[in-house]
Amino acid sequence: MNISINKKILIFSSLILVFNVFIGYTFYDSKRKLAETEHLVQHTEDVISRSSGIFLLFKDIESAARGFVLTGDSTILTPLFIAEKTIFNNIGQLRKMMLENPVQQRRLDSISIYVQNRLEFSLHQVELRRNQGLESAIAYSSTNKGKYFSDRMSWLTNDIQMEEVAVFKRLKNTNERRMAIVNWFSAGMFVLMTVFTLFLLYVTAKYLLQIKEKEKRAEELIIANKELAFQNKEKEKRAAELILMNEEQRETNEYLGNLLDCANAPIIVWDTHFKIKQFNKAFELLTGRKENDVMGRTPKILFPTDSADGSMDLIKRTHHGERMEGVEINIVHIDGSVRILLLSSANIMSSDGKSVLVTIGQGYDVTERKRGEEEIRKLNETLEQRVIDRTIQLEAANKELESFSYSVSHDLRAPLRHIGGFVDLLIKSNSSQLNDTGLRYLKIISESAHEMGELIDALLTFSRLGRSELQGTRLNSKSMVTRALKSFTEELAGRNVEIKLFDLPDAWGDENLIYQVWINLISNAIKYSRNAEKTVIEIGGNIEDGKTIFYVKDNGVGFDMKYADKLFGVFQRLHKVKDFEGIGIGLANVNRIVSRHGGKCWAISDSDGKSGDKGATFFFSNPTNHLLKI
Amino acid sequence: MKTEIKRILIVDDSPKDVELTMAALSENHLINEIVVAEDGEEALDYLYKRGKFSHEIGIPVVILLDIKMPKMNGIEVLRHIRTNPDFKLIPVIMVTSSHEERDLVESYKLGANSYVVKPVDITQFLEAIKTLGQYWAVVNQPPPMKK
Repeated sequence: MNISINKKILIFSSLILVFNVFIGYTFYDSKRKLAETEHLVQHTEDVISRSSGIFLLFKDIESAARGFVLTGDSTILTPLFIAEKTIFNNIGQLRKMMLENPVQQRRLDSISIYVQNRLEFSLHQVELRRNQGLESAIAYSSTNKGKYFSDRMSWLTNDIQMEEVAVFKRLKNTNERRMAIVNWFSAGMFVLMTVFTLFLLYVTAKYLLQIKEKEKRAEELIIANKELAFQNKEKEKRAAELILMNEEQRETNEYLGNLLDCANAPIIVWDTHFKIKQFNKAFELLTGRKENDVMGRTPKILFPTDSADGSMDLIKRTHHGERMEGVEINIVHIDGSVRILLLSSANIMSSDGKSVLVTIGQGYDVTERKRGEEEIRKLNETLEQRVIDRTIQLEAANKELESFSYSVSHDLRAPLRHIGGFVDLLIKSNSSQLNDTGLRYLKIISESAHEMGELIDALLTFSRLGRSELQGTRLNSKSMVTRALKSFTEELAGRNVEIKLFDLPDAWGDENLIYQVWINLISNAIKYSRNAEKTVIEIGGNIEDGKTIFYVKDNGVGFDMKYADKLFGVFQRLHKVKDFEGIGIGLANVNRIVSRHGGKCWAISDSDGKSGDKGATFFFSNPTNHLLKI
Repeated sequence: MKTEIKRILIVDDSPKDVELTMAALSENHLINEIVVAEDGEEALDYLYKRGKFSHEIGIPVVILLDIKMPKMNGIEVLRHIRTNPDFKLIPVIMVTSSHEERDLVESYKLGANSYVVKPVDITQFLEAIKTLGQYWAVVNQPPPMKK
């Protein structure tokens, strides 16, 4: 049986209380009994003393009477009179003391009678002595009457006393027996009490321990409570903050809502079930649908049927955290027209960042741009086609030109050669048969044929320069110019010539062609300065603004700047043949080569020598960017 | 000077040019040893002793080969000569009206021994042919030929 500790304590405490009451009562009872015994002892002593007193007074009466009888001295009678006065009083008192004992009362009755009789006997003796003298008194006394009374008195007194002692002893025994039982009982009670108390102590200790445990728990609980209280406070604080935040959020939402609606860009928001959650004004305008009509519906309704599935696939991919960036999506207006949107999306993630809450898609209407692009693309396509066509035409023209040049070089030259050849043969073999005029004519024919041959050759060279492939390399200009100068050694023999050759930057280009440029320019410089007393030719070059500019300067006849733009034309000459031979193809070739290398040619001159610096300077530029690559 | 017959094969479709060449060569008294083929095909016929040349004997000591000819042009003839072990050692001089670099490069690539542009000036031409004829037909020791 499981009894709670409190009940146990209650039960044991009650038991101890009962036992205590019991013990208390026992002690009280013992005390009472003891007092009773003491009282009884006193009573017995009083009875004995009183009864002994009475007996002594009785003896006083006897003795006084006997003494008087013998002496006749009346003083001796004093105790008799005292006893006569007090004895019955004492007997009364004794009687009072033994009221509860009838046997003793009867004895006292007997004693009273014997006292009365003895008193009367003694008083009679006295009278006799006084009145009759000694003899009579003695005579009377010798009747043994007195002795009878005295004996009876003695015996009765003894009986009373014995009876009292017996009663006392009987009572005392009873009390002692009782006390013994009480003692045993007390001892038992003590043992029991001790056991109970120990038990109670144990229980209490246990209880106390439990209490302590409980207190500890309580303390912990208090702490926990405090913690809870703190948390509650925090929560309240948070709640307050949340309220504030909610308010802010509401404001933000409102602000965002307005912002969304005011935005020019179409903005749409869909959730993870691909239901439209937001649809701004720009989107309404784009689709002709109202926000209320599309809210909660799938974005699929916004797409043209032929591309709806593909577009939805794109939309669905955002659910896995993918973002769209400028994805082209077709949007259909309720009137059926299709607009092209560049859609970019961003995901709003849950606070743990693991799942997508909603996706915001922002579009950019590129329909117009796309149309423009399409037009441009079409134009480009046609342009490309035109370029291709033109290229084909050009290629054909080039081929034609080439075969034309080839024909010219072969077919035109052949008859010319025949004219020249047979005229020469005629002059050589048959000159004797011809007169001077005929001979002169033949010589003119021959010269013209040569001239025409030269012109054809020059033209062919010029056309070849425009067609041949460039083999661009880095060119050491100085060594190239040195080599070119060397080829004129023979021509310069016997002339007073000073050539100033400065350090030249490297050039880029086709070695053979650039060499031709130098040859032409130097050749011109030598040719047009041959009438000078001393020919001075200066050759130099500098790098300026990403290009190298070379120049060849002479102190020759120069040219009229008025016609400077004609210098580089084909068969253009600024001097008479009789002054300076030539057909006017050199500078045209130079110009063609230089421009094919991405450069330019120009010249300055002071033919009058007014500036004190007579002569001409020819420049050509050469780009440096190719040099950086090689 | 050896009097051994040394044939010069002129391949040219233009009789006028052939005449001019012959005139130049006659200056060297080499006229009797000249054979003329009027186009590429005839040139090969001569070498293979076919057609009108079936009775001809002897391998030319030098071939003066024009480039621009009908049917088979000079470049093709040169290629043929150079790929045939019997003829590949025959000296071939390209004699042409053209300065075309394309032809020049192609000719040397195929193994032409020389490249001469027919000048308008007959004197120059005579000089050139004279030198060439002398060099190849007289001075130069021809390569060994199969009989």
